[in-house]
Amino acid sequence: MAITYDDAMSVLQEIFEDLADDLDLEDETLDPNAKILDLGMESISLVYLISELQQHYGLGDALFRKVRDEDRLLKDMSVDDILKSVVELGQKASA
Amino acid sequence: MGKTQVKTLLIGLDGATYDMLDPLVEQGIMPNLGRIMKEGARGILRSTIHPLTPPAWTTMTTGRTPGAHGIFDFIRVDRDGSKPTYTLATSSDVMVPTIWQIASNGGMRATTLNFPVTFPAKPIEGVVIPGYVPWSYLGRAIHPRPVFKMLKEKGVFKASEMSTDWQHERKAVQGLSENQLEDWVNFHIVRERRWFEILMTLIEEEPSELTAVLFDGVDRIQHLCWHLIDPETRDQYTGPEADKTRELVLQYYRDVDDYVQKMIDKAGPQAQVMIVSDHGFTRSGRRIFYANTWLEHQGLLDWVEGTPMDDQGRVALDENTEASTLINWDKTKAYALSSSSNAIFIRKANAPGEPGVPPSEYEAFRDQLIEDLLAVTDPATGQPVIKHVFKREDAFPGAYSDRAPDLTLMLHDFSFLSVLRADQPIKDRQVPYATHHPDGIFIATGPGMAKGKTLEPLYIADVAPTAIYSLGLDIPSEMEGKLCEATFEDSYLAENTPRYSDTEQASGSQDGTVLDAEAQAQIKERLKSLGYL
Repeated sequence: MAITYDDAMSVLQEIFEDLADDLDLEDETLDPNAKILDLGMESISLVYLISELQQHYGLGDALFRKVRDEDRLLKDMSVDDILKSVVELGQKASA
Repeated sequence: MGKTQVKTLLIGLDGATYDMLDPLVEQGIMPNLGRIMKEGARGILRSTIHPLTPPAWTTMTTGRTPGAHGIFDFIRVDRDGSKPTYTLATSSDVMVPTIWQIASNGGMRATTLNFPVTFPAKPIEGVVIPGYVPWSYLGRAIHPRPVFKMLKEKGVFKASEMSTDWQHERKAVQGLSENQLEDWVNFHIVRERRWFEILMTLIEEEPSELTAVLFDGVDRIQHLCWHLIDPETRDQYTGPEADKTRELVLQYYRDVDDYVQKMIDKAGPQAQVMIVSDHGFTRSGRRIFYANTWLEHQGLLDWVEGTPMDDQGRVALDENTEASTLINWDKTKAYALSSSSNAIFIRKANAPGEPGVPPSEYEAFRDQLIEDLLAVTDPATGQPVIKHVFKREDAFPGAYSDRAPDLTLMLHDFSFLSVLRADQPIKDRQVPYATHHPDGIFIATGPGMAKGKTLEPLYIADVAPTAIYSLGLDIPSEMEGKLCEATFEDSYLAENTPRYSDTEQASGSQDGTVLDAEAQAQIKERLKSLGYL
């Protein structure tokens, strides 16, 4: 099943709404250009976020691998970077 | 909720050992545990070949050995890319079903609190609060979501007091100064109270037939404070700070003893109870083996220019920085990535001219490396440093053996190796430290369970089928662990004939890897030769 950008955005938005609720922060609409690390998470929590996205879309560890292969650091990635990676991996999986 | 009752209560005490518990019982610190051990059944629970929390608990809760379930360390190493990297191991790396999944698929509810490698929660009928999750993600990690809201409303969920701070832990488990130990113990006293309160709330509000909780402060405190309570060393540590920390450590054990009894009472008289540890504990030697430095001296590893020398007796970097960033991969053939795994990986050259060991030379290279490792002696004592070197296929046979390290070391003093750069391969440890030992604990009590009995040593994989039997479910025949019939009274066994099922009732994260009958037979032979079957 292909993953659309909007669907991935809604999943990520829901995760961040829960996190905001958990941490008693104000809900905010995700800005695609925002760095994930600037959204109130500890850097180590990014690993958990990626794990959850992988599980949600049945991607195995493909998202981690993609980040590694591209020699990128999670802490430097934006919401848009993550979403585009998820969509790309979804396309590959459904091809 | 309906009238669901706890049938099986599994209480995990990470790193608990009779070497510590028996003296504490004698001193009157743990009267409840003393009575339970006296009135119930007890035996040694042998851990995985490398007695480490993630593979050991996963073996305990799947009934499968690491080669079959896929967990070997806190991390999963990826060797497919241009250079080795790793990420934290997660539930998606567990390739076989857990007892919680099996119970849920068998029509029961299951509750699991604070166990490693259970994030992201795999959907089950019941409650999952994964262990080793940082505070900002712990609430989100709870399955199902309404349980988080209920626990929060009741005021028992305090993420910052229950979660894992990886950086803090990494620094702390390497040793703290005397004046920092008090905070460390206090942190775990509060932490265990939180997990206890959550368990008590869940038994009331969301009862499950299979209820399991892990108290991991036992391990954390023993690593750093063993010397303060070990009868052989405690008198060497006196003074106000040591006395105060020692009293706090004893308070920690008093609390755990109290929680154990209260949880058993709360579970009800019908519950069968198993109190288990993933491994035992023992005091470390005074020296640290710097594995990567030793490999460097053998000409098998090179450091990135500017990599600092460790002069503080550390085994890993304090920060959340990968040890792989310290290594010059163009000139490295063998390396250790984590202290916890006591593992050495061999870099294979994927094509001619690439760095690493050509596949045709792998076996000879590995054999020579084993020979050289076993020959390492401490120049200060002349004694050998490494007791055993296990090859991957011998230590971890199974469908996921390829994920295991090429070599796993068991040091003579059972301590963990260091992955850091140093001026010598073997150096002094700078603070007292204790380490994992293969012999953990298994204690059972409750209706139908053996009374006043000492059991023959069990293998850690035996806990899963024993728990599944206790639930009254079919035991998956794929489990390498065996039902420990001696845990139960003969009359109970006669009335409750063990049943086996050829089909696992739930899948883990299987990727379709299936072993044929011959391969399975070979694995069982290897496990038998290792004394596990």
